[in-house]
Amino acid sequence: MNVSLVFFGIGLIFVVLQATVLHLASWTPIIPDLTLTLCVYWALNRPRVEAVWGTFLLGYAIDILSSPQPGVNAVAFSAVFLAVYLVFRYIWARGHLMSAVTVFAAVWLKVGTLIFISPLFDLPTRDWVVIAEAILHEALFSAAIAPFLFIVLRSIQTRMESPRKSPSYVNAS
Amino acid sequence: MAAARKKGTADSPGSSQQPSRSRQPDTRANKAGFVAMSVLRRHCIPINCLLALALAFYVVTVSSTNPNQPDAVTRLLTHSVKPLQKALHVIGATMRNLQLNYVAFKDLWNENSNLKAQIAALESERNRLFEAKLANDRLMELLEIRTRILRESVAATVISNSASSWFRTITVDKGSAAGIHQGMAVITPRGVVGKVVSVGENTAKVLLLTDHKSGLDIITQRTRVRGIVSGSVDGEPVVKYMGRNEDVRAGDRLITSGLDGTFPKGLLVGTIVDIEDEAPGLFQRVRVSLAVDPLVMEEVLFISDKPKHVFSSALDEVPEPASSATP
Repeated sequence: MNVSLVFFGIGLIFVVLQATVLHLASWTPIIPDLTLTLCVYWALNRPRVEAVWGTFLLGYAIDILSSPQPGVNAVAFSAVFLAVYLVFRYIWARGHLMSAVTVFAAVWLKVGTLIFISPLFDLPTRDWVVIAEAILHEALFSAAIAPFLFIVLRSIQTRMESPRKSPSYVNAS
Repeated sequence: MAAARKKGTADSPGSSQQPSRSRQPDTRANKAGFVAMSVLRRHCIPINCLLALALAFYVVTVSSTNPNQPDAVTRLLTHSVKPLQKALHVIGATMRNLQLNYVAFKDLWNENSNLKAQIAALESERNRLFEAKLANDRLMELLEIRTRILRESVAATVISNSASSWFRTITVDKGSAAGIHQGMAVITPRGVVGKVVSVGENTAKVLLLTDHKSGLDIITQRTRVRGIVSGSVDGEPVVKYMGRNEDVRAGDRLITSGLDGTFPKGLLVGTIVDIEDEAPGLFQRVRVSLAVDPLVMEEVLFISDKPKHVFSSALDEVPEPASSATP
């Protein structure tokens, strides 16, 4: 099975989890963005055309579920994918800490894009401190989860991309 | 053939140059196309990202300008993700119901625990009040008998029973500090208990009527026959020194005679339960059931041999005569 298809399926599961279980399990209204973490991993480790459109569709799925204005999360997710791809095309940075830092920055970029393109926070009295705290919490949650999620995704990717032994090869050996 | 091929190419340079001249624009176009393709191939991901961004911006713009009428792209996207949306909605609703049921169950559980705790507390309170009522009844009886007896009296609470099976005593929580002294009579509203045998500052030991060393002068209430009630080792009190020809029978009530100077006259001691006429000797053997069961006593009253000073408090308040102040 195609790795991108599997990642897209996992992304849909993450969207469902974010819409349901994580709200029940979390003690604050802020929940980690698992879907964005997946998209960051996708941009870092398997940047393909299908990954781009998979990211777009996952963002759009979140729009369908939670956004009052369709497309804003699709824009934000696509922007994050593009940024991560362009930045890490020229920087060799791997490791758990780096993955956490990348996801931390990606969350800030995502919310920044949302603020930039959407009137979501265009309130008469803007409480930027509260918004910044909320972004910080989401970024910290996501960054804390990112290394574990990256390990799981990497194991899935490695298992799917490893060459299978043919029966003839097995017989010959 | 190779030489001829070489020759042929060498002989006709024009023929070889002419096609190359005619193909030059094509080659440039191919080169440009190749370059474009290679650029596209090299940057296909950023280009796709930009396309996706453009599409997303388009969706945002269209949905913000005309939110009631989505365009074709939005309709297509919405239509394609409709099954997913339905599935998500069902899953979300199920999870929400589960959460609500869990919360309701948790509330019921907490309410049940609280109600159980309240029941336990109320049961304990009810028991305490019942005990208080019983104690109040007993103390009221004590108070009543205390007012009837015209002697000084002290109420006390039993704090322990006898630790030996050979001696029948109880210990109470008041002693010489409360005015108790050796030889005082001890009674309850039901009847006679015994006599004080030793006194501490805050405790006193009472020898019960059931002890084999105790003795109490009594008379039968019906025929006024005298005798001595005494305990025994087997715990069954008997009446001693009651002549064979005396008129006594089972069921006669025994009361204190008041002749020993310790117990006031007329206090209930017990009831005759059995008379043995065949016993040898000058006296008949009379077995008695005491009015007071020493094992279930909680409060007792100590009676002094001093008469009660009815007007003592009033006399205390009388001022000294004026003549005493003058020499």
